Amino acid sequence: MRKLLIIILGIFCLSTLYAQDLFNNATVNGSFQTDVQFYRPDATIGIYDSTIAGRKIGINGFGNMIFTLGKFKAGMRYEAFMTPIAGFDPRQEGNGFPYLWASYTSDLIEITAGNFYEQFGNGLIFRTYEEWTLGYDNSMNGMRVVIYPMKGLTLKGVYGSQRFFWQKFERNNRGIVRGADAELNLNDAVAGWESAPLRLTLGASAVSKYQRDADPIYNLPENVGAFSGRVNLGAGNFNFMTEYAYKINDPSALNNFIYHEGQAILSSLSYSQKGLGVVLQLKRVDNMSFKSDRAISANALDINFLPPINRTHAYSLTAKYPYATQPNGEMGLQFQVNYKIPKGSLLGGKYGTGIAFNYSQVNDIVRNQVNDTTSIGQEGTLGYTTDFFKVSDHIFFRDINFEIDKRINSKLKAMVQYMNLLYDIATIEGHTGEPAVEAHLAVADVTYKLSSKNALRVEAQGLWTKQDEGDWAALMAEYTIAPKWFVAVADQYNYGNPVKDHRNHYYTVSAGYTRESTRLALTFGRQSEGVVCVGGVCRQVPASSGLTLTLSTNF
Amino acid sequence: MKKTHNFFVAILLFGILLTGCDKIEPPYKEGGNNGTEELTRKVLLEDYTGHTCVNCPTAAKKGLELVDLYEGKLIMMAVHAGYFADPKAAPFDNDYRTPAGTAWDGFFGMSAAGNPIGMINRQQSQGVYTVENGDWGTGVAAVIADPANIKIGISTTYNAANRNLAISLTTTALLALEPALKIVACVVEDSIVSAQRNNDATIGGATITDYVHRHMLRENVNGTWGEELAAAGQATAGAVFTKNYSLSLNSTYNADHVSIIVFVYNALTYEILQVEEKHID
Repeated sequence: MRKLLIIILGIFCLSTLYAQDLFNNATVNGSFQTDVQFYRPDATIGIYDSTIAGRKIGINGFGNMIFTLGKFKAGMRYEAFMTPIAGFDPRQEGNGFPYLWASYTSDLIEITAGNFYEQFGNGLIFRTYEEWTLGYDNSMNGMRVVIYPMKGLTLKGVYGSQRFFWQKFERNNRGIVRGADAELNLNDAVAGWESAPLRLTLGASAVSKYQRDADPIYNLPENVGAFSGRVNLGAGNFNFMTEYAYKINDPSALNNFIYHEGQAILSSLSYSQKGLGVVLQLKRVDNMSFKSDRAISANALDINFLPPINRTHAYSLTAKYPYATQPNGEMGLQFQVNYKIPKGSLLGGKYGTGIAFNYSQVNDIVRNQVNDTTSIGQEGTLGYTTDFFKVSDHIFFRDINFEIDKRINSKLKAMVQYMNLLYDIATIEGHTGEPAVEAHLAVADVTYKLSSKNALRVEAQGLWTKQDEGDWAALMAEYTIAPKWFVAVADQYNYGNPVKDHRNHYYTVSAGYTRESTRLALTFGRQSEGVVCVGGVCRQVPASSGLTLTLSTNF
Repeated sequence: MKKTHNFFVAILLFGILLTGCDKIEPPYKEGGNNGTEELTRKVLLEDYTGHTCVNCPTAAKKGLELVDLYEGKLIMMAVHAGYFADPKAAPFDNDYRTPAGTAWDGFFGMSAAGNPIGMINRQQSQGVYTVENGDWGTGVAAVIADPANIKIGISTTYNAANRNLAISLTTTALLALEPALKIVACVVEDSIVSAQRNNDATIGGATITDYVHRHMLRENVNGTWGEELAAAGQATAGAVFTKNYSLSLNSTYNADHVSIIVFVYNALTYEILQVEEKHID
């Protein structure tokens, strides 16, 4: 009995020591965020008790934790949308752990079991990611292996199913995704090329989706394959990248069940030196929507990602008409120049002057009838034929913008921007029959530093158009007491709305407090109504009015 | 040698994936299989739609194709509800919304998920009732051959002079059914010619002023959620339940195009167990 006690005590001591050792070497980090909205009726912008329908509070929240111990890592993300805040898909309603994983990493191999995000190349045939503010998550649930068999060579393999709100994967309720990617960096792989003037990386990927065909009307492919190849070439200050992707027939709700093949090409040429950056990007997309459920047209279950090549605008009015990639077909280009006029020159002044010019345009592709009896895009047919190099006259989007930013003195800096926009609202938002929005926009952003901690920033914007909701003006003033406090008041006024009753003010008052890595922000105000169309489904994002609270922390 | 080996492994992997492709050759459409069973459970496909919903005509076309394929076994009902069904400036000033349609739309989370959207027999999967139109075919095919456990008989007497409509429903439990059952009767009008927004060039232009709206829900005869047919355990095998209703047919309805759709559902799960449609006469 005594012996047994000694053995038990010994094991206990050893395990305690081991546990201490374990916890001494382990790290835990993570983040939490909660967004809460309190709604109130606001008859001016069409919100009544019946619109709120009892859901006076919407809360979205997540908690993310990662545990690391040497080569082992494990993590989880908890989410609760109860009920989801206005504008989120009602299928988000729910709570649970949608993201659980464990991984082991060595110099040779990295294995992840559970949920993971991954991207092959530019994502033309495979990219999973999460975007909290949009309520988007197409994470994989399966296995991921990365092998580094030799210096410069990376092999990846993935398989699993994708997240679809809270619906668990069940046999045949959606597709299965499997894929592989190889990337070879020749400068690392070939002896003597380490410091060569030419930098060359090659990559190739293949992805296949399996989904059962139980449709009584169509003869559907159960295995849909997609392939891509890419090159990245650098020489001196120049860099060239291109990726081409091909997908076999993939009739789906998004392409109206046509059997046309899919293709995409993305190329980019850039030059950079101190004070100057030039980028030219080209893109062609033809029938490249790739989802792990062919029946879904909502914004979910995307296997691939077709990167936009337009400037992402940060101001409320310049971001009012954002372009959304048209996976069924588009040809686009973007040209961007950033130049810093040197300090001490006539135009540069004491601090230098930054100039940026950006031009982007996206047109439709040209589609021809397959034969005389089949109309273009007719379901259950090849759909159309297309000439790879032909550009349609139909412009989806054009953005020409010019920006100057300048520090005037040690206290004052300013930025002015002009934007000329053409936005085919019929195609991008599904407002069929409505004319394209042609708009001029201007922004001025001035920051005045009152002291080393206090600063006042004022933003003035104008949007002038004869289409859609007409003219808008926006004004915002923000006072910051670094590093903890900010207060801001803003108003967007739709003074040119063709319907007089809709000439509304969308005002907000907000304040925030930051301490260490914890941030609390409160906003009171209105948000305008919108209609979001993704694929073949349109959803109304209702106007909202009330109080929004955001609490976030990282550790 | 090692490098060659690595590349060989990579090529092999791609080879395996390459074989995972099904290139389909014409014909792309199948004849389908509408079954031959005499008494099967009929299926109700509800199409939640609206006259300013641009993608809805495509979905309606798909639904009607399925109705043709499963002749007599698939019943379709277009429910105008939600933002895209709201009356707007002419020619979209007609109001096709109904109190029942609006209540169902909210309860089952239909238009909030985006239009077009549907339900098949109000079956839910992990709490979700919505079925996107791309899945209507697969969803209907999965249940179309299910055996019937309820039979619904509809007889109507319509007096064209005073527009009085008498409806008599005889429901028979073909086997013992444990759950509480409810019965709903709806008035549906077919081929209403009215404006519709559209995004499908194979159907028409952006605004089709003379669009033919099919199988449109007009009103409920016995309330949004119907009335109790049988309490839990009451529907024994062979039990017969009768319900009689009479109403004055709204003067705006074209009586030649009016049908009655009747469905019986599980009062707990809302799943529709049987549905029947009859043109009034």
